[in-house]
Amino acid sequence: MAAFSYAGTTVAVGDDIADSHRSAWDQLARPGTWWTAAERLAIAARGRHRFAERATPPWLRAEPPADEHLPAEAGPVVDLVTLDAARIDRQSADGAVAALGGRGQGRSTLERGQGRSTLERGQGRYVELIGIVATVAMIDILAESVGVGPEPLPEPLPGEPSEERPDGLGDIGAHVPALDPFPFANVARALSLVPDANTLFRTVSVPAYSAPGFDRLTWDTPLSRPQVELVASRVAAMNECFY
Amino acid sequence: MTLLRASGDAIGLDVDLGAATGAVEGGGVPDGEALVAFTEAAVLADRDELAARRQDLLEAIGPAAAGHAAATVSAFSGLVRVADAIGIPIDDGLAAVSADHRAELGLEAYGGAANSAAVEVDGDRFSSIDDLFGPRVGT
Repeated sequence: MAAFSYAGTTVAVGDDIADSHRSAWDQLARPGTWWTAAERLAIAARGRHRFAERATPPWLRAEPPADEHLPAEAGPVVDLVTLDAARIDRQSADGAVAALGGRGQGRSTLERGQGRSTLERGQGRYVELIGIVATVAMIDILAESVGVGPEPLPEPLPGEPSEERPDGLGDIGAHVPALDPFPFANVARALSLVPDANTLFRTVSVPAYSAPGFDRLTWDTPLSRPQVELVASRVAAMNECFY
Repeated sequence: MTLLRASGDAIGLDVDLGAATGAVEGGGVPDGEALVAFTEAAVLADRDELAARRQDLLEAIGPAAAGHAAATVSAFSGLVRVADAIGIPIDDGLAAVSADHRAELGLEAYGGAANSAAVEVDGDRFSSIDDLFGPRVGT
C-alpha cells in the first residue's frame, strides 16, 4: 500500500483524499483494459515528467527518461494530453487514436487486441491513457500544493489487459464514443468507453470536488461553495478549458 | 463559471466572473484574492511563489479550508485534461445559462469551444443544478 501521508503538512488534507490516492495507486499497478500494468506505469511516469515541467517553455523541456515499457506511439499522446489538452481537436484526437490503434504490429504484443478493430483498440487505449495522465496530474499537483514531494509510482503487477468494451455506447459529439444515455453530467461519462479508466479517475476527482449534497449551491464545508467554484473556474480558465 | 455565479447568487454574493479569467482580483468572493493567488501559483508550478501564497492562504482561511482549496485545484487539473482530450460538449442546460458570460469573458476563443458548437441554447435561467446537468449530477 502506498504511503500518501500528508500528516506533516501545514495544510489539512482530508483522510478521504489520501485514501483516494492510495486506491488510485493500487488500481494503477494492475493491468488495465487496454494496457498492461507496466505500460500504464510507463504512461504515468511520462505524464508525471511532463506535468512537472508544464510551465517550462517547450524549448527548455528535458527529454523524458527512456522507458522500455512505453510504446513509442504513446509518448507524444501523453505529452499532448498533459501539456496541451486545450489544443486537442477532432483531427488530433483521431490521429492519436489511429496511432495507438495500430500499435502491436510487428511487436511481441502482436496478438493483443486482434479481436478488436484498429479503431476500437485505438479508442480504448486513448481513453485509458487520458485517465492515467489526468489521475497522476491530480495527485501530483495536490502534493505540490501542500508542499510535499511526489509519491513514488507503484510496481506493476502481472497480467494481460481485458480488452473489454462496454455495451450502450453512442456518439455524444465527443472525439470518442461514450455511454449514452447517461444520468450524470457529461464530464462524468467522458471516460465511460473504458469503465476502469473512469473508475480510476473518479476515485480521485470525486472526493476532491464534492460535499454532501453536491447539487446544493451552498456547502457546509470549511471552504464555501463560491470559494470552491472560484478556484475551480480559475484552474479551468488558466488551462483554457471551455467545458 | 456558471456554478461560481450561481453559488454566489445563492448566498446573496455579487460575484464578478472576471476573477476567473484574472481580469479582476478576487471577484467579491471572501478571501478571493488569496485563493486565486494560490491557485495561479499551483497551476503555474512556481514553487517559491506557491510556498508564499500557501502561507498567505493558511493565514487567511486556515488549514482545513486551504486543504479544500488544494483539493479543488487537484480535481480541476484532471477534469480539464479529461474534458478537452475527450472533447466532451458542455451539457445542454449549462450551455443555455452560460451563453452570456462565455461571450463576455471571451471563452468562445478557447479551443474546446468547437466541441460544443452543436449544443442548443434554450432558455437563460435555472433554479437548480438539475437544470444544468440533469436530475443527478456528479463530477
